[in-house]
Amino acid sequence: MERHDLLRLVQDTLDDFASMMPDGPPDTLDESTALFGPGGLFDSIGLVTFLADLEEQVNDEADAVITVADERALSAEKSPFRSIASLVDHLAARLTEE
Amino acid sequence: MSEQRTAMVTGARKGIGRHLVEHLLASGWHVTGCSRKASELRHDNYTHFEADVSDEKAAKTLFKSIRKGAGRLDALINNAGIAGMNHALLTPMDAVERVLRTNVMGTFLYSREAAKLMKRGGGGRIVNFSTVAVPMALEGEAAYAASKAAVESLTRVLAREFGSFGITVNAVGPTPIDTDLIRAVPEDKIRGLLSRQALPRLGEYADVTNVVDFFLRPESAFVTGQVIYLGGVS
Repeated sequence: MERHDLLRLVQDTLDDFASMMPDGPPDTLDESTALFGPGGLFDSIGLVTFLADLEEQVNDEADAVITVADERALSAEKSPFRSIASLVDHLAARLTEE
Repeated sequence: MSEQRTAMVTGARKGIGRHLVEHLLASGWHVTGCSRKASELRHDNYTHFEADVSDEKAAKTLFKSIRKGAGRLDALINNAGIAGMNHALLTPMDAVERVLRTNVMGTFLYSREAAKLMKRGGGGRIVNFSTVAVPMALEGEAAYAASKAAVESLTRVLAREFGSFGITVNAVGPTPIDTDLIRAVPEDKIRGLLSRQALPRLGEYADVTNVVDFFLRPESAFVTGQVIYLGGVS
């Protein structure tokens, strides 16, 4: 999958999770949108549920079996789940390694 | 998405797992089973995968296949298990690791992947396998009992983590049943063990099926995080 396909997939999946965003969905979802932390879209359980769903979507569309929340992601100094851009980069890297 | 209720049974090739598969098929479920070796069971509503339950990639491939096929998963029976019966002083570490990988990691991995699928359908049932060796603190079963104590802990924590998705997580703790798992255990040890039960007899497959059926019933939606031991052990 190309990076722009992953970005679209992340945005589409976020649209489905609007009801789990404590402050409601933002007007625009661009790469700088924060997913978690100050000003982020999700609380912790919302992020977990979103990532689990996204993993299925990515694996289905890319015909892959990656794990989104893997050891490296969870121990990284800067979380790949902090923004849409970092998440898309993370997904692209894992798919490349597959 | 299929209209038929769908279950996944690990350790499905023989013993209790095979019995549970046949019981669920007879009750109208579509069943996916897995074991390390191929199954001889042939049924229109049965699909078998050869997979080690501690293999993450194999598990993800298997659950992806269920998602793309039936599109739903209503029940997971984490039956796959390895027993290791030996005095701790004579238990090699690779045996301990094998027991922990199958019993603990396998249960964790399959529960995690199943929950991802179940939450899409609004809920589901996970049934884990413990053993009376946990409350009885049986000598000679240190690794096995410890692994099943971990399964009980998983059962309680996952019940809380998955509760908001409508998923219940419970466990059944069978007494010894006449399966391959206990065939190597000396007869006098089995007799001694049975004498400590309130109901001193070997368990039967039907005893286990009865508890699993209870956890799977729609009316059991408010029962989660529980371990039911057979034979009057507590």
